[in-house]
Amino acid sequence: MRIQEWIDRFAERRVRDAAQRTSRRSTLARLGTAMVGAAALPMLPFDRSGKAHAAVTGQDDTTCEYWRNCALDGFLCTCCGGSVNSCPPGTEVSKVTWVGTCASPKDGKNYLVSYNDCCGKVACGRCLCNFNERERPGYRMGVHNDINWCMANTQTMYHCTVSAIVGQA
Amino acid sequence: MGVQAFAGSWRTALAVSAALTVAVGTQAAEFTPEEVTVAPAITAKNRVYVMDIAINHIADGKLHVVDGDSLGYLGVIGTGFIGQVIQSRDRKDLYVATGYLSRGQRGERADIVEVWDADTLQFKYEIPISDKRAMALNYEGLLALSANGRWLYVQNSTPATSVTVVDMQNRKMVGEIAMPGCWAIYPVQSNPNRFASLCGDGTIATVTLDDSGNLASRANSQKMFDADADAWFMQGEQDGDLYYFVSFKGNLAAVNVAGDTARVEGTWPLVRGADTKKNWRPGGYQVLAIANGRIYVPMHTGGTEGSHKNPANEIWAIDLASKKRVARLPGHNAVALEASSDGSKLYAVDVHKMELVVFDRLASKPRVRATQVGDIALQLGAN
Repeated sequence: MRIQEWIDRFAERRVRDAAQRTSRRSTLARLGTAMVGAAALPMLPFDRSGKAHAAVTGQDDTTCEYWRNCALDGFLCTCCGGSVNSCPPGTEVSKVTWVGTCASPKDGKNYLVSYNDCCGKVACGRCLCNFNERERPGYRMGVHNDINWCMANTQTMYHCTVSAIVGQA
Repeated sequence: MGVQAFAGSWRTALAVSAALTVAVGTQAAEFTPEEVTVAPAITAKNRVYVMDIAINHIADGKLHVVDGDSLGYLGVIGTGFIGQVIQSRDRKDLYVATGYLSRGQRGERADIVEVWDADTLQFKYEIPISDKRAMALNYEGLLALSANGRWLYVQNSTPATSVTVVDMQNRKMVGEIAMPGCWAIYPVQSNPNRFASLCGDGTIATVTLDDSGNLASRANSQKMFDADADAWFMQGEQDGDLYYFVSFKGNLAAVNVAGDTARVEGTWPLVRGADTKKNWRPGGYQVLAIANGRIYVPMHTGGTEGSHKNPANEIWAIDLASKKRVARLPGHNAVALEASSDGSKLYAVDVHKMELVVFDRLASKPRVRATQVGDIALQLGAN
């Protein structure tokens, strides 16, 4: 319940921020907390056949197995000129996002991870990763990652995805 | 060597050139130069449409057309920035719902439905649509066509969800239907003005249009699944008014969508007995295909929360009448399945090798062939 409350607050802040920065105010206002939503574009379970998600416990933030990536789907911004919490130069941060919950290997605690997409430039094309813990189809849009979360930005091209820690679960 | 020969002087070069001219001249009577033409319209009986999201250059997706018999590559249609594709009801056209930015990676966004000839792969015309169109991975339910071919339904996300209705007879967008909390479109075979949609509360919404394409009525079913405990994959495999859905944990459901509200006609588990110990689960993107009364499902071992997109270790065939598993095919890392229209073949995407895998002689003793196609394909279609 505490998590839900936090997510609601987070979503409200996101909506407020977005509303201030865009002319699509009415649309965004209607979204409400449904916008808690989520990570990046697509895909590929490429090299992870058979590996359980418990394997996402790594410390190197330029690898797919980095612990924050437990529900990340897309190119790691750490491989694209950005960091775990900054978009690469010349891109813009997505106005909508979703919050995953991943366990830190350092203290064993669960943290809330915001998977913002970085937008407005061609796809980075480096470090494509795909983990799906607690991910669900688009009928739970707030936890769906098979979609471009640059969708509410003026510039909608998908570039890469960050994994910023925004709270403790 | 060529560079050496001509490096000496212009005189030498001219002399060689003259000698070549004489040589060609003496053979002219026997030589017919080739004429460059465009290949004729495609006539292949079994065509596979391979949807390629091409994420590494995502503004430039592709629909690859492959001959399901010879595995030859037949041609391509560009599908723009995260486009979706569906065939017209007569299979003569391909509808592409997509978008383009005016400067490729930036600029003004324009979303359209393009109509392409399925045989000549030539562009025919386009229809402007709302730029709310969902920019999502390729899934069948994100672009759907009514049973009579008139209404084309385009899934939207801003991320508020809605459906754009396009009148393909009059070639214009006619409206938008709000679908809060619901996702994907499942047209009703027996009612061209009706479609269903999966909702996050575990219900199915049934939407009925009037003859102008506007909302006439909407009703939600009773709760059918639990999106937290055992979510349904969004692919619905159609058999008339029935759609088959499978859950993350491997429970299959047959849902009749014909009435005012959808109703479940039956559910059963795919994984039974000793198989439960290995935690077999379905995984991938296009996770169901029906051929000859059997439904095929890509299955992986070691299933757990978050493994629902894992590639297949095996492909299971379930007999829809007896509800029993009747075959286990090699998995080929499949994440997408589709059956040929005559039911003789099963197509699959091997996501590791990015190959189109074809199982021939499906009902007897399957033979496997494969060919590499595209960058990142997650959906297949068959004519």
